[in-house]
Amino acid sequence: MASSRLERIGTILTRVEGLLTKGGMKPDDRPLWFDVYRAFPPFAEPRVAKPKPEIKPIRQILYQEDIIRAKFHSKGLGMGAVNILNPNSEPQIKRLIKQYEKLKSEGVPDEELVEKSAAMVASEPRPENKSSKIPKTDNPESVTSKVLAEADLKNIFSEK
Amino acid sequence: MISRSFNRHPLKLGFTFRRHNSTAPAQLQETTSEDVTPLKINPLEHPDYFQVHNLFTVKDLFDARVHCGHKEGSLNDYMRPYLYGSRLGHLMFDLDITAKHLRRALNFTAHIAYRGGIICFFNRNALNCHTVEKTAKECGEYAHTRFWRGGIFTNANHQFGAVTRLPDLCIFLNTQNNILNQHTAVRDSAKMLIPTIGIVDTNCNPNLITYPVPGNDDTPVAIELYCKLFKEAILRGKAERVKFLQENA
Repeated sequence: MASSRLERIGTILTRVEGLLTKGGMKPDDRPLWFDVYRAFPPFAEPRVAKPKPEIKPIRQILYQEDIIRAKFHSKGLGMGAVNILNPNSEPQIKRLIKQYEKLKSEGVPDEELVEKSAAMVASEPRPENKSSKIPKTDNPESVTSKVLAEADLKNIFSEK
Repeated sequence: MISRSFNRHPLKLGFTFRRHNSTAPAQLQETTSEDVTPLKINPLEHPDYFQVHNLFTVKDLFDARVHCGHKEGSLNDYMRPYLYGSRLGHLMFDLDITAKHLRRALNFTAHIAYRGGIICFFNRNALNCHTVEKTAKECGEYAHTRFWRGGIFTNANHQFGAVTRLPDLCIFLNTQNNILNQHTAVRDSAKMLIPTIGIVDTNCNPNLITYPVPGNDDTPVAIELYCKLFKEAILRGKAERVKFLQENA
């Protein structure tokens, strides 16, 4: 069957179209995707030698809280451990910012805000993380969950 | 040689047959007669015949971390139009653009499955290898996630010792072999006139990919989402195909 392996020239569509119009490929031999491609062409032509898009400076994504974040991070605060298994867990810095804004609305002077909110967050009870102790499996019948149910993790090194 | 095997394709013949017989006035006459047959539409004329637009929302993409790209230093200039911005050096994709491209890619996949095409999934990230192979198995298609021996496409008849039918669509869940080189199958698919769909991250070159989808190609959650979507699109295409074949048996 006729085909064109020169992938740097045109696109797969133009190469097949060329073969079809010049009789190198019979219309019945056209590839299966040909009609679909023509009905739903890609948004940009898949050409190898495309001109580079206009190079504009990349927009920087910044938020209002970044100023507060910077204040905490410059003092080495805000890098507490995060439980990645729990999608609802809040990072340390998020709790610090919440506390900071709460204190600010209460009228605490600016110089004391960082230290005070850090102290208050440190004294807060840590949110309960039951899942971090023993990982739970979805299926209670599985071998993993049976082994985990029997496991005595606290005393694995004690000699009987 | 590849498309010769499609010559006697029942579905394709069905399409050509229908194309000659579906003129608008004829259908209007039919509706006036007593036995009203449902108005048939050509899938290619429908903007979203397989309803792939309802497979996902932009929020789903965000939750699966599709928007996260690599760092600014590794940016490929061809990926600039797909970016939203840079968060402290890490590039972020514009998910509205990603959704638009992904929907078109899913629609194309469903149409290829509908026409009985062979679809092959590709991925060279060992972490996501099993997910991809499992997906291919579940939707009755193929996957190639291991080392690519040169010439599997371009020299197939010699390598396999027989006339080989190549896939009709290659879906790349990552287009890089490693951080430096593009997967050889991207080039070889273009050579063999096979369309490709590829998830392209900020460090990839989208030019040779027929339907590039800008998005994160490393994170397992993101790959799971793509796998789920492509699987669903393929299954919808196949279900429609079975329906079509039963009606026209």
